[in-house]
Amino acid sequence: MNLNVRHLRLRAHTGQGVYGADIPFKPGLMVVRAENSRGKSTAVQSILFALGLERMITTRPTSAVTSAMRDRLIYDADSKAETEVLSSRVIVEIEGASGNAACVTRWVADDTLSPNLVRVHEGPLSELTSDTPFVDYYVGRSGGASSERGFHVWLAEFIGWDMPELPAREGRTSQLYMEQVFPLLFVEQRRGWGGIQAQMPVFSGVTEVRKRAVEFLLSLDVGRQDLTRQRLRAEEAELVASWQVATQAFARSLDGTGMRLDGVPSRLPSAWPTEDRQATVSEASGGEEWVPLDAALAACVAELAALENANVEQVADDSAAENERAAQISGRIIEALDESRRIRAIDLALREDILRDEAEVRTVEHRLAALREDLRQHQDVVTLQKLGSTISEQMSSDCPVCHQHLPSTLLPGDVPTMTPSDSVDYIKKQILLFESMLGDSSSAVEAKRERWISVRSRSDDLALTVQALRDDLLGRSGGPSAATVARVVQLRDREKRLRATAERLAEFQIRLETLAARAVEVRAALRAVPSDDLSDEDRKKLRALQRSFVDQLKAYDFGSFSNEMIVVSEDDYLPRRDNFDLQADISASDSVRVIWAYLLGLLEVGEQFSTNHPGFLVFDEPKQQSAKDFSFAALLRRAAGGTAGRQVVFATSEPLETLRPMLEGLSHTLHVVDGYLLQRVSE
Amino acid sequence: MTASDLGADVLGWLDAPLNFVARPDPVAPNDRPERRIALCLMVVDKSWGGRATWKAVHVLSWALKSHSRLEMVARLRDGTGPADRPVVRFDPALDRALDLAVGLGFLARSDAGVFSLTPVGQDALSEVRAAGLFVDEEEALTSVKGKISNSSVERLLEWRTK
Repeated sequence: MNLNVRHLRLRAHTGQGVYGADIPFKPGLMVVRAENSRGKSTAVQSILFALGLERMITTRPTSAVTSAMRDRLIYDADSKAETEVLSSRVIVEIEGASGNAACVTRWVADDTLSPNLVRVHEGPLSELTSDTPFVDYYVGRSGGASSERGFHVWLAEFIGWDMPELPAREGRTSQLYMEQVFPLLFVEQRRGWGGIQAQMPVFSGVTEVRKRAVEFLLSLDVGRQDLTRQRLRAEEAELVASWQVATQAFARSLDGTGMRLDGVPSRLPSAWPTEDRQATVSEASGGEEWVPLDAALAACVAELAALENANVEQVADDSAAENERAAQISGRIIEALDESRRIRAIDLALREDILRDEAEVRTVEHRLAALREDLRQHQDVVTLQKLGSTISEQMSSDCPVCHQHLPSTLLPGDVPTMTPSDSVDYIKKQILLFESMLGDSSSAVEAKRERWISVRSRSDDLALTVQALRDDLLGRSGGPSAATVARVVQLRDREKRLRATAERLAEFQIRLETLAARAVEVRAALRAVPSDDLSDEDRKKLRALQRSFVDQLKAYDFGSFSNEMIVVSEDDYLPRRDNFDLQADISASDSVRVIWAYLLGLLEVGEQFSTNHPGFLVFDEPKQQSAKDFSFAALLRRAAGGTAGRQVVFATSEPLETLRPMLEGLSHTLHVVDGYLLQRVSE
Repeated sequence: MTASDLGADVLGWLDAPLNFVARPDPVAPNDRPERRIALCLMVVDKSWGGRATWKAVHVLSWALKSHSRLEMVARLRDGTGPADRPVVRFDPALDRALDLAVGLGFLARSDAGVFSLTPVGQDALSEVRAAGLFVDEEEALTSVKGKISNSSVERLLEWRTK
């Protein structure tokens, strides 16, 4: 992780010529000094603007930069005469994780180039020519942080960041945006000093985004584990839902076919299929029992084969054989009619059964509705009592006149009565009982309906068979019998239906097996995720942050109270004192010290541990609230230390005569802006 | 051990005092004084001028039990008679609730037998309403527009005698 600014170049074309500024940046402590209202903020905000981070401070992209770059600039320092800005742009040379330099150009005002465009040239500014190849990216609109041409996708890779995907509201996920991390790296003068992460935009719907930003920057394990856990939970919920949808859809597709699905639990089980739990489809045989799909199909195929072989033997030529054939057919007609009568009896019995069962279902439904109403009414009474309302208070005391107990019921006689809350429990149990009764009765009715459908279709088949046998009896012999033909047609049709169902069942089974197998993996993964606690490494980082933070407060002469009472919370990683947010009850100047110490602390932790901190920090006008010179000098000293890779940028209007002594002996770079930042340049 | 020995032994075990403890009975919510009193207060409040005769309280409490009954009360205004509706039943439990409500000071009863809310009763009713209880009943009563006069209740009862 690394980010360093190497050079800032501003250019504005006006009717009075080209104006601009060049500020070379160096690593380590970098102080940019300018008088108030001479362009210091223009410089600082231009960096934010060039990096596409203006949403930290405003919703309108170009209002992130001061008006000098946007509409009018002062071209004559003496008379303060202004001229209109025709076209302007910001160029920042930055150094990334691999040590490479890139120049990022963004136009503030231009007739043809939109402020949503960012142009990236690979290579340092000094080598930039009109022939240097470039790539255009966009920023500040949807996709700017996720699509291939999004500038922040490029920038994240350049810095060496892998932006995490976070759980957001309504089950969505959303990326952690750069604008949400940079408030820990970049304090802008106008709004940044209100508190730690004061400029945090929360547009993504991610919950606890401040905490997530710190977790990301410090690369805490706990955040990653939390994310993993949430992602796994979401996936598990999705699997459970898919299971239900698939099961319901398949069961519905069997409605009205005389078949039903068994052995599939309605909720995604922990293991599936098991020996006693497999998806099976069975068909109503017409009688009591249900035939498994495979057996029904095998029987159908066997009968079909037998009939097709027998076809040839149907030929008869002498009269004895003819008589024999007629007798056979008559016998089969009688058989079929007998079967038909039997089926009709089953049909009637089933229809009656179904009507009875449906009536039972309705009764149970009524009973349930009445119980639910009773429950509601009792709950009202319980609430009344819990509230200690006037009515229940009065009822619980004795009669003021005769000192007898007031009755607990309006029924005549002295009956011991259940209390309202006992009644609530009692009714709830009854409701559970009746609900399971309702479930049982409903599924029984459904199964019987399927049986009934199957009986009806068997009855239709028989009618056709009888018809065909009659034709055979009257017709001449010699060809295949009409009855056989009719039966063959029926059987072929049936075979087709059964095969189609078997095929769908196989697909359905594969789908369920896939879901169940994935669920086993997801659940195992969930169990494998360590608990919510911080890891040892996390604790070390937070302790280091706390040490650095308290150390700095001492150095900055923090006045509000003793530093030893301050801890960095393990819940939100913010400094707390006696479990209260530190920023809540301290003076304004101490609040500024807290921000200095916290943000610099994050950077220092990044130098000791492996984190996502890019070693870059910008303070715009850190000497807020007239912080004491003594504190400010200590801050400069602290910022000048550390490892060689860091870059801490201070933009200040501190007078040179006090600034120079403070910087004395410190390794630093001082850039002094003389007069207005934007000055006439030749291009 | 022979079979008769065993029989004697069993009889020996059984020769112990049996204790039956009466368990409290479940009671219908409408037979609970707290609920019934609250409903009485709501009904009286719904009546014309905040005053309801004994008959009116009975009729309205009876009507509260189903949507179609309430509709009947609502239609009293336009005078379309409920030819095929059952007669009003007078519930003895309601009388006990009314007695209790008067005794506890929630309702006042005039010499003419007209009930009205006392200040305590009014407070109790607003407590019930503030707690968001009896939502369905409240909704049912509001579905009948305006206040219900005692004379329209009389009119409803007249159909019975016709």
